[in-house]
Amino acid sequence: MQKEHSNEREEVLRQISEIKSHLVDRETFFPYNYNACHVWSGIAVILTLSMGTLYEYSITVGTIFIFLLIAIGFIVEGSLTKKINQTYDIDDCTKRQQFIMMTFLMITLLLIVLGMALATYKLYSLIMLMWLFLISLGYFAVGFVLNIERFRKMAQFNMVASLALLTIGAYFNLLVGFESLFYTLVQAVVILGLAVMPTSIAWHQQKEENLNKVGCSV
Amino acid sequence: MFDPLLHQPVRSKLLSVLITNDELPFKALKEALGVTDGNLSSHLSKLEKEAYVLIEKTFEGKRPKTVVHITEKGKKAFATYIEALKKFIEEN
Repeated sequence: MQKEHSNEREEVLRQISEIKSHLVDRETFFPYNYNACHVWSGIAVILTLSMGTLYEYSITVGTIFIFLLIAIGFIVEGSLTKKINQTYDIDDCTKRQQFIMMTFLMITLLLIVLGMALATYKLYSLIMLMWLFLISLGYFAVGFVLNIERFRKMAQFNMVASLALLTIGAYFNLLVGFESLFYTLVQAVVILGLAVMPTSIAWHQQKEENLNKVGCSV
Repeated sequence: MFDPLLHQPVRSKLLSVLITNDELPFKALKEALGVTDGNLSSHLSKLEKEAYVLIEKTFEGKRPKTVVHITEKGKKAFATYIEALKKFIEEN
């Protein structure tokens, strides 16, 4: 009798743990093609290396170029998401996919407009650090919603790094122009934070998903 | 004491997934739960019989497509089931 009761308790705890993993820990179904992260990393490198020169040439040309690259990124991301969704018979996209897409869309639009305004004062390092901070905030939201700790940690690191560099830049008046050593340092940190780290995390996530698939089929 | 329909690992997981997504195609549910077609169909038909889920079968071109929705009755039953689990743990 006692043993039967203890078995029932164990069974109930197991059920609670299963349900909790879906409702609280958000271990939910989220189809995502991590190749999109590699595309965004490529875009981040191009933007980081060309932004200052382009803004210096013409703010309008710089803004249009950034807008076009970002648009390409969203088109690629959209088509990759659509493709992976089709394999699960999902016509449009899930609520979470919509949330993530909208978050990044709004952040990038804000950054483009702010960048345009700050470029008139040649505050290129500030623009770059703003990109690093706000895109990382987006990654933090993604990491939180999908419970991906790697994204959360990366975002925290990037946000702290951007704030530290911003403080140094503001204190020593280094935020103007694009020919200083400080600007090169900012470029290196942005490439690390928005290209190298996301690509590496995407690679790890892909590897884990493949391992899980092999595990399931075995 | 517990709803026998929900006091089963696959079915409780199934409703948890549907609660967070409202509706999902059959293929997506299968992937999320890691079960076979036959296994999922059998659990779904039990839940459908009690009107906990609604199964919508359509055609996309020539391809059949099945989408599973959670009903209000299903949501209520799931909430009651969680309450029952909570009560059991508190009392034992």
